[in-house]
Amino acid sequence: MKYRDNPELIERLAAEYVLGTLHGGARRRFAAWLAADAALRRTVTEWEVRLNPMASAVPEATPPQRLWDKVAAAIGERKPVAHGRTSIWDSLLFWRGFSLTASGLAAALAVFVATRPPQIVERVQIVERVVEKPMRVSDGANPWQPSFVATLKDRDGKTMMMLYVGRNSDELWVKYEGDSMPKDASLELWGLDAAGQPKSLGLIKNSGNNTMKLPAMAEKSVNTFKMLAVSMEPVGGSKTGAPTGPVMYQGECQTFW
Amino acid sequence: MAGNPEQDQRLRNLLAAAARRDSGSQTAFAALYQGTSAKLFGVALRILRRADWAEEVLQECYVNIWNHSGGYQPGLSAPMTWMTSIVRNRCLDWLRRPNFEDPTDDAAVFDAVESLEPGPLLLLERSAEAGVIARCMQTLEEKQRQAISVAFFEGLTHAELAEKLGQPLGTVKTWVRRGLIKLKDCLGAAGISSN
Repeated sequence: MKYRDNPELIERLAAEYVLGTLHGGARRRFAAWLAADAALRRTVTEWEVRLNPMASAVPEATPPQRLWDKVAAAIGERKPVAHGRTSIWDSLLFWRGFSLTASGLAAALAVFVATRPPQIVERVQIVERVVEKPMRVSDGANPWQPSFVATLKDRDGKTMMMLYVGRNSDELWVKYEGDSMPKDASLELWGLDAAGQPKSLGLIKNSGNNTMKLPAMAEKSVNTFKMLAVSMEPVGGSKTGAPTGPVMYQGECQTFW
Repeated sequence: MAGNPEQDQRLRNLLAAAARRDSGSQTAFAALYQGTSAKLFGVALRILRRADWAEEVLQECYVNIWNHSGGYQPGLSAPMTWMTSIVRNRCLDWLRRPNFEDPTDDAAVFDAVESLEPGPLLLLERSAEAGVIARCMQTLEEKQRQAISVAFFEGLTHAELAEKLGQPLGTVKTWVRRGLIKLKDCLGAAGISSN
């Protein structure tokens, strides 16, 4: 190939390939050379290093969430959605692992009782009796908040996170089943009201069990949330007050009295 | 994009974590997406001028970035430089594909004209991030600077550039060629890709 003997031509073609002005047959031919020529690839990379920083001048535009969903679906392992006993018993262990208020636990268990086969119901009821205690009474000035539970799933329907807030509590119990968090990012939990407006509830710290203090704002409005969602955010969480990254998990919020 | 070592290192770590293909890889990749997609979507939108196309291209590009995360060579270019190339190359291929309809012919599907303002030159002058390249662009003659920035930001061919700038093809080609040589010298003097 003659181009190899002509460094000036190589330099010009590489520059115009990166700039984009090389087009049509010439671009295709150049791309074919590139595939076969490491030195030429280096020359192109040098031009990318020179010119690409110009792209940082372009205003950012946040792509719609569906773009991430499609990317995630394309790169994700296609695992069958978990069904059956394993997840139920994992769930039970989770709920039992915390010393919940009696009403909260009973309410949470009611979900499982309502949906599980008889032999499991029996086990659940035993657990329920052990922790049964008198319910707390509202002091009037501080009316009861409902307790709530939520199960957040990823797009494949796999349960990734379970959350529970006790009645009149500002503590949120979180069990996160996902990957260990990268050091360079944060998972942020959001409550969505009926209008779909997100309010930050804080950052998920690590995999396993977390206890999060709910911000006062969220505590007041916890009973208005219809959905909870977790998004991927820069370290320390979204700076804008709304999710900026892809939504990783979401689920409906169930309230219990 | 360039010149922010902390951000570069962060993206490098995330790419490496994605390439490991272990239990943390998908989460790391989501973080990489979070940190780069608005920038790259902006780049694709400006070249393609249609949000649906930009979305389609970006989807392919992120899948590519995932697939080739192990092939990224940190010693050669910054992560954002590498990803920008993937996106720009795919956008340019898209524009040059057979049976391409010009987005300006299709008024129904945007992208709105105001999003193309301000023009590329102004963008570059205002950009704090573009750093050395912005300064070196200032050393070019105005017509060279204009030809190169319009070509880069809007993905135009020489012929389209000639039409847009209202100049003969040969003249525009010369502006681009000379401008690029001058840019290379200026950037080389600043320690960027000097050879």
